[in-house]
Amino acid sequence: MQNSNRTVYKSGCVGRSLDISRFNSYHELRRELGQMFGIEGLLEDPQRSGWQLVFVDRENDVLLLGDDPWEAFVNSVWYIKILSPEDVQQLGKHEVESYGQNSGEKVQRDLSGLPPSMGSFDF
Amino acid sequence: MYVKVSMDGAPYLRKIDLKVYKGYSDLLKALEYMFKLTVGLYSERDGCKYAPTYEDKDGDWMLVGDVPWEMFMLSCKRMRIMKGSEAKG
Repeated sequence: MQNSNRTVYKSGCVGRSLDISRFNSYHELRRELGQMFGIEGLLEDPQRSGWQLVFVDRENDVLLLGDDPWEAFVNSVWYIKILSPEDVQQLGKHEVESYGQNSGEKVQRDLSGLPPSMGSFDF
Repeated sequence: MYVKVSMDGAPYLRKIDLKVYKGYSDLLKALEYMFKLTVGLYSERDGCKYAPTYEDKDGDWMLVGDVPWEMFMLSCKRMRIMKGSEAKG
């Protein structure tokens, strides 16, 4: 039987794992993640809260959670990462720097530990 | 017909369904809104900071806008909004 457990990371917290096959929609997943990490309500409305849910797929790309049809997401998700507003800024800053050095080359994804946020990146 | 869209310097990629757009200007307007920037059409590329490119089914990276829209939809595998200086080479 396929293992449908997926790891969820949030900087500053220990990793969690959940069974993605338990959910039928993004809404259910967002609600569960909010409860799991004690940030209820912050993941439902990213525009307002600034918190973003992203995931890394099997091609090692970091994507915003929610664009794909639900089933396509379930089939391609490798792990999920919860980003605070500070994390989002910091991740954008790192991407800007990496594209300056290796123009166009893929950068190995490492979302497991983000440095403390400094400065801002308007995205 | 979902394809990934990356933008140089952005913290994460997005996914879009090419089937919902009527043509290039429709697509580019949506990308401008999504990534909050100005993405130029091929004829207005000079002076624009970003250029839309796509990977076709042969694995080549091409500038968006040269081929008829329907042909683009069939051959586009993913998109990358490139910093304008890099697109010109």
